[in-house]
Amino acid sequence: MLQDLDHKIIEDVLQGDGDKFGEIIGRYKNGVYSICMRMVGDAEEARDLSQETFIKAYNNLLKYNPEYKFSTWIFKIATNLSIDYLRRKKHQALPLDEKLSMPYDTASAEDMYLHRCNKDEIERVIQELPPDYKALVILYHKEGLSYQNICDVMKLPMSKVKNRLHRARSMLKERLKEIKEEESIWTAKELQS
Amino acid sequence: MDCKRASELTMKYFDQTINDFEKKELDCHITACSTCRLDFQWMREALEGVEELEDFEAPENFEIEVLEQLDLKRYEPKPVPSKIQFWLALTVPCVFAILSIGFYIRFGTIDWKDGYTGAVSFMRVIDLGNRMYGLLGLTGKALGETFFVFIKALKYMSAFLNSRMGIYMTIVAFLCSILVFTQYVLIKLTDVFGYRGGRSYEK
Ligand SMILES: [Zn+2]
Repeated sequence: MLQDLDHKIIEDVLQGDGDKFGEIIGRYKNGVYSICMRMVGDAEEARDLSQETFIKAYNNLLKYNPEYKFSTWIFKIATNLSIDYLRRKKHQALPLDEKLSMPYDTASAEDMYLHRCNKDEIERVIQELPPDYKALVILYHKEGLSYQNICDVMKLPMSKVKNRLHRARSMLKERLKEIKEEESIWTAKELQS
Repeated sequence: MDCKRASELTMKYFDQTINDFEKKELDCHITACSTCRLDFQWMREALEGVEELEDFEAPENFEIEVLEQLDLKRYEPKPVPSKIQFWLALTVPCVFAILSIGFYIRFGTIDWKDGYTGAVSFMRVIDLGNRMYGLLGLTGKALGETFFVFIKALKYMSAFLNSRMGIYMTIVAFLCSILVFTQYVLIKLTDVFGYRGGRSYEK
């Protein structure tokens, strides 16, 4: 249903009604902006990248294959632009304190308890993943793309995608565990003092 | 079952490709092994956390800012010369050229003073056209004396040629010039070979 509407709009745009592209932007701006935001972790950059995404999509609209969902296609552009951006940025010197490095405290299993994660922690954990892994986690778990879609998007073989996503999950899990453990130690210390 | 197998099944679980039998297998191990249980729980915590994340709100005026950067006329249909137009453009001049040769063979070259009136009057019209061209050329020369005037003329001419009327006029002028040119060549040939076509007229 929604897909049909997308296709209808795109058809109109390709027929010369360029203004209609505004509707497409309206429908996907939050999704695209969120991907860029989570990929680069900076509002300014995310804005530029998501604008670039829509411009690129518009200029390449003839290349869009209606067999795929439009969201898959535009998320792919957003992801690729973000990864490119992160790669370019990596070559520039990063200020040392920009990388978050938390002291690693090993807490025993007894100290650890599970409680509802809050969003900030998840966001932070995603932020710390390497770009390719980040993209996989966002596309698969947040945007709900299938493995096949991701393979098409990232131009990677299935085995590699699966492998990376599995590793990404483990990293995510470990990092979340660490953060939670630190927090529980903190709370314990606060309570003692 | 060992812990390695359990971690594989955990991944399968989150890929949603796990079958009922494997699910039971995993369940069994997790209840028994606390390391794998914690791993599983943390994994679920993390991945469900990701799934539950909400979209960020795109900045204000996002659409407008993007639309401003787009060439909104990019996909506007441009008139493409059709195949019919192409063949027409090719055959019409050919027909005209053959017609010119036909006139020559049937009526011969023209003696402007006297002769076969039908053909002559027709050729006179063409001759008049020819003279007009000459006149136009002279005027053009006079205009072209100033460089700026020339540039301006070019500008107007291109505007004129790009207009629909201009295109028609150009086609007509082109066809006339073919006719005139063929006649000219044939007359020159007559001068050289002495043959005046199917009929010759006294001077
Ligand atoms: Zn185990």
